Amino acid sequence: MSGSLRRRLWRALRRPRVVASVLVLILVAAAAIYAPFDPIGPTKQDLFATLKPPGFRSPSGVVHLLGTDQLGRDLLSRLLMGARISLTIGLASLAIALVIGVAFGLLAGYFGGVVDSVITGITETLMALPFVLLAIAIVAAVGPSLPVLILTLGLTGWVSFAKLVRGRVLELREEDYVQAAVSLGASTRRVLLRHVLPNVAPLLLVDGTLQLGTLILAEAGLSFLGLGIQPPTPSWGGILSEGQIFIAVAWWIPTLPGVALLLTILSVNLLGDALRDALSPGD
Amino acid sequence: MLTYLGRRLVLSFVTLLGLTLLVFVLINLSGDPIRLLLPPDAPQSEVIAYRHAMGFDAPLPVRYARFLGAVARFDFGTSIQLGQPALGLVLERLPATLALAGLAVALAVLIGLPLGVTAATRRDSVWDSLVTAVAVTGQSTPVFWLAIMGILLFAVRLRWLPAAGIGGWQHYVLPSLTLALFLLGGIVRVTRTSVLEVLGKAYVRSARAKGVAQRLVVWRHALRNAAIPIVTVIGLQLRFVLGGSVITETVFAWPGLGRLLVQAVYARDYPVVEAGVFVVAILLILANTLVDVSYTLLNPRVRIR
Repeated sequence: MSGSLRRRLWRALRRPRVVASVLVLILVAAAAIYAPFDPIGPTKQDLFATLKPPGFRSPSGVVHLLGTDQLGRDLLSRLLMGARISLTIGLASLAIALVIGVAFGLLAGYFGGVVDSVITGITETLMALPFVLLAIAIVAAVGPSLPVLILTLGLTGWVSFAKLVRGRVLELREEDYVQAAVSLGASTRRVLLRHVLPNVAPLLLVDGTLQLGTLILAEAGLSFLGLGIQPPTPSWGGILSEGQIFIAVAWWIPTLPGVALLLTILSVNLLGDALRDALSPGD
Repeated sequence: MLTYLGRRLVLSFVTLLGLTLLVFVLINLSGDPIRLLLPPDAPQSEVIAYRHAMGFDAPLPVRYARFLGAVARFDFGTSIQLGQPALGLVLERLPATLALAGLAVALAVLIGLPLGVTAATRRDSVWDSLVTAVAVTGQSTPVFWLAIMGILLFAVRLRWLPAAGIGGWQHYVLPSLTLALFLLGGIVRVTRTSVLEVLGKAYVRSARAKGVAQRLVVWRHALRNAAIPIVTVIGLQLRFVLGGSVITETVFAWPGLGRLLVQAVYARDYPVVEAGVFVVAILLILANTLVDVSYTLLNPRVRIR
């Protein structure tokens, strides 16, 4: 990383809203790590304390800071565990999408011809449907579960990475240092991994950050529709979905998971935008 | 233009072929279809006989060829849940979805264009920051949460609007605004960027130097030339509109295609899901072709090939 790049990055990340975003994300990550150690626990029911408002103290002395749901489960514990679910699914599916997208992008861009046509055909097919519909078709076939959810998100979320990498490879292939490496007898694998990939990495960092927000939002949407994480495991989308019928008597159940989602995704997007401003001076 | 349409046709054909393959693989992943169709206690001999009668014992390529033939004839079979032709069910629900989606796109454009232009012409002002903040927040807000908050405020607390269902114009307000707000961010941001870019061009400066009023410069000269990226983004967003309408329709009990498909998944009603997948894919292909063709109308210099 060159000195000027580091300075630009530093300047972009020092802006107040970006600092705030990073703090929110650290908080969400901390919640995800802490969740299993929470003393109340996300599935502990208390049928004598259902639909209690935030700050409620039960006769046995348990304080429900964010209230309880229809089964008397502590909403804060459920939201903390929801952070763990959201981040796990988001990061795992992002990893899958990155690996597939980078591999397909490198292959399509470097080899062209038939390889490129086949990969373009696959991306066009995936782009022909809204993501939700694709997920509906998959879940209708194999049923909802955590691995299915991660695979669905990962196997459909790589298209933008592949396009990005392919485009960059087409440019880089003509660069002198790549040509030089090829004529010196470097293997294709070495050229792609040592010379091409490092040049795509900054763009992937930007796109990957923004894609993480999209994936977390998609997971929440699918869980909301009942096609993702199944109860009693708490996910932000699922809590919202279960809580929506209690909207008139317990506003906190459908409201707070949405606030958590909004803050998380907003922070990811603001961070992604800041990285984009810093890393792509051309725009 | 003709060569463009020809190439587009071939590409669309390949895309639809890819979809048939995807759907075929998914159907076969879903387990033995006979088990879904026959009662669980059916004797083994009956299962074998029925499997043969339905052609499920043929080799995979033969079954794929048969599936292709059926799709080509728009024959998606009968809904397991409702016993009616799947395609008919889907087409019956389509108008409600298109009305909602169309209204949402129109609202997003009507609100988004002025906001984006304002942000661009008053660059780095308070207005610019405010509009950009609204755009990012809009893009980060979960649609289903926004919908529920809308119901909480306008239907439960204020009692101004109905919470769900279809009926008079009041029923359109919450679902279409929710969906529109989701699209707004993208339209605002691309309008701002492309107007900013055009405002720096020579012909805009000369129009200004000629003494053309600012309002006219922006809306006549700048926006017209900034139109192509804006239309492109609207075209790309159509995918998300249809995706978002699945969620919006579910929250607001809107009798559209999205809600039908979600209900079909719960019932494992695969023929309906299949018909829905192909109808939406064909719609999106048509819409994107129209977007490409509209480039030539927006800018006569563009020749699509």
